[in-house]
Formats: sequence, C-alpha cells, structure tokens
Amino acid sequence: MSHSHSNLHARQRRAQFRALWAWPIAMGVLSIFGLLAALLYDGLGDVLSWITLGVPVLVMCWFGWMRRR
Amino acid sequence: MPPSTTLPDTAAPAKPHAAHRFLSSSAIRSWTWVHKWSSLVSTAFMLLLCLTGLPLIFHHEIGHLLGTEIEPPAMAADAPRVSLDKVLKTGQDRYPGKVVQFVSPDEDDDRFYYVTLGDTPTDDKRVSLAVDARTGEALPTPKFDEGFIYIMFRLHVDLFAGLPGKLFLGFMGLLLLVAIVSGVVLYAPFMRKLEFGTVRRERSTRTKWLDLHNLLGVVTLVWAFVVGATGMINTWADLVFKLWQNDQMAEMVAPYKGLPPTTARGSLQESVDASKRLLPHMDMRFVAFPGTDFSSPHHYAVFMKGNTPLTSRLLQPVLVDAETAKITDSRPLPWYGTALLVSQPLHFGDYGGTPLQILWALLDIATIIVLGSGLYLWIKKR
Repeated sequence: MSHSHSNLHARQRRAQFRALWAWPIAMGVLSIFGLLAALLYDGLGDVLSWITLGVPVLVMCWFGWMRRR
Repeated sequence: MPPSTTLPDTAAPAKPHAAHRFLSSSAIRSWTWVHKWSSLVSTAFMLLLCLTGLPLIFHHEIGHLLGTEIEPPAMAADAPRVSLDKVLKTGQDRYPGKVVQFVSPDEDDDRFYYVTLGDTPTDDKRVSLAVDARTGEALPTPKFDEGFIYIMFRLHVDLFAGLPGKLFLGFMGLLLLVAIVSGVVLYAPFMRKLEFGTVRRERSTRTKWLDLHNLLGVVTLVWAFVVGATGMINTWADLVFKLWQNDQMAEMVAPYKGLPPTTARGSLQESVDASKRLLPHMDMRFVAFPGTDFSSPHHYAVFMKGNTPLTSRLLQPVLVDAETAKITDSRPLPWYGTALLVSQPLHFGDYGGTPLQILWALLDIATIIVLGSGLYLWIKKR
C-alpha cells in the first residue's frame, strides 16, 4: 500500500471512510442502543428500543424493496 | 452518473485504487476464503436455527392459540394467595410415588405455580403440575414434551441430541460469528464504489442479490452478532451450571458435607419468607428441593430474582436448611453465571413487549434472506 501523508490524501481517506461506513455505523449504534434500552429500562426504554431497532428494519425495506428509481 | 453504470456486471470487487484501498488483493482472497467456508459449513444449521427460532419468539402466543397455555380461572386481581406449603401438598398428593424437585411461579403469570416432580430428586423424566396460587387447586396441565413448540424448541436447542447437540450448534454459532466478521471486512472492497443501499436491479439477478446480501448483512450486523453470540453462550449453559455447582455451590454447602440426609422437612413458605426478608428487593423465581442438582441433600435452594428488567433475569440462591427453614448462606452468582443469564434475554428478544418480538422476527427473516442469498451467490459462482 502506498501511503501519502499529505492533508489532501488524509481528507480523501476520511471522506471515503465516511461514505463507506457512516450508514453501517449508524445502524450498528442504533441497534446496540435498542438492544440495551429495553433491557435496562422498562417503559420508556421499551419504546426507545422499538424505535431504534425499527429504523434498521425500515432502512432494509426502503433500500431493499420500496425504493425504485 | 449513478455508480451502478460505472461498475462491471461481475460480482467481483472493483479493482482497488492503490492509494485508497483498505485491503490488499491477497488479503481480500484470504477473507473471501474465510467468509465462504465459515458460511458454507454453518448455513444449513443457521437456516434451521432461524426457521425454528421464528415460532419460538412467539411461543406464548402460539401456545395460547393451540390451547396449550395454562389458563387459571378469572378471580379478583388482589385475591389472596394460599401458602406455598398447600401448593406443595397439592403437587405431592397428585403424584404420591414421586418426589418434588422444584416449585416455581409461572414466569409471566403469578396466578399459578408449577410443582415439578420425578421418581428421584435427580430424575430427568419430570412431570409438572400447575397449581392455582389463589385456591391451591391443581389446574389442567398440558404435557411439555410434545407438540409443535416442543419440536421447534428441541430442534433449535440441541437437535434432540442433548449436550453434544447443544455444543455442536454452539460451534455453528461460532462459525456464524466468523462469517459475520469476515463479511464486514469484505463489505469494504465490494461497496467502495457504491452508495449505501445500492441495489442494482437492472443488472443480473446475481448482482441484485449480491447487493441485497450486502445491504441486509451490514444492517443486521449488530443484531445478528448479538443474537449469535448469546445463542452460542446459551449452548454452554449446562457446562456453566456444572462449574457453578463445583465452585460456589460446593463452598456454600461444605459445612453440611457428610451429614445424614434430612428426615423431617421444614415449611416451604417459611423458607421463602426468610429469603424475602434477607433480600427484600428480590422475588422468588424457583425453589430447588433437597437432593436436586440445584441444591444439596440438606437444603431448599431458594433462587431469588431482582425486580428491574435486567436484574429480573439474574438469580441469587439462598440456601435454607430444609429441616429448620433457617438461612445458612446466600451469595450473588459468580460472573460466569451472570453472563449466562444476561445473554438469555438478548437471545430470546422477550424483554420489550410485543413490538420487540415483532422486530426480532423481522430481523430474523432478514437474516434468513442473508443466509439464503449467500448460498445462492455461492451456487451461481461455481
């Protein structure tokens, strides 16, 4: 791998990392939050877990089947 | 220009741009090998686990529909409860030749108890009797070792093969975790030139399913990893239990070692009341009777649970002298016991009401699609 430490390349790499991983990381963080919320807190915790675990399910439905270009 | 038009129709990762690539091509080949084989070996069993797990998420609801759930008669919600000694007597009278092994309230319905008996304290051919907590009368009790849900349960837990079956499925779970991790690593080279969520429908069926595999795989990643890892931990339950028996339990009952077995039995209700006084923020989850694997020949082991969503999954045993109904010892479970008990709800998805069960089912179905599409992609590539 050829590494360039110029600012430009560092910025490009960061931008590329974000483009690739921003969505997966967001989905993962929401999932972890949802898995723990209901375990730690009744009531509000349950509701938060439904929302935060519901988002990845909706994201799959939207990108996978509902969106048509 | 949409990214899909810039890529060849092959499913291979785009040629890496030297300055920006995350993995060398030989690393990609190695990870592909890991992903292929960990998936291929485990896929058939993972599909079985996902399919049998689906009805298990709703086992109460299905049992209700099939009429195999116990339905205590309607009474005022604050109807007084009878003494546990009466509950115990009802169970003992129904099966006079058998010995009581466990008494426990139903986990979801505090209007009745189960009294579980066997020919000996350690007999694993058990019978259970449901007993109404308000009247002390026996309730019609369906058999637990037959029917649709039981078959799904055994296929899911041990393939009807006991401990070896469990450990085998645990190993398949480990392979799933390897497949997930290697899948994430491979996500980068496959998706570098594509926007998140791209599904190239206009391309070949294989390309479309590759995109769906990547999309569903990466979105379900954390959930699948947690459910897979906690499932694997659950397959070690018997071993964890044996460890606890020989470790903490052995220490707690050491003072009674070598004493003759108990003859008279003290009050069960008194034993539970004493445990409740010792641990006022906890409730009884079950009582193990003298001579069972969960107790000693001289003790009632009263297993107490906490009263928050998390601590209600944890247990603390209180050892009560079975003759005098006096407490002799009580210690919180060691870390490995706690780890096992915390991993259970995270596997079952039964801790956040019906909406969480439905989400669990949808994520399970998404995982089935990931497994199926992975298999399809492999078949097509050969």
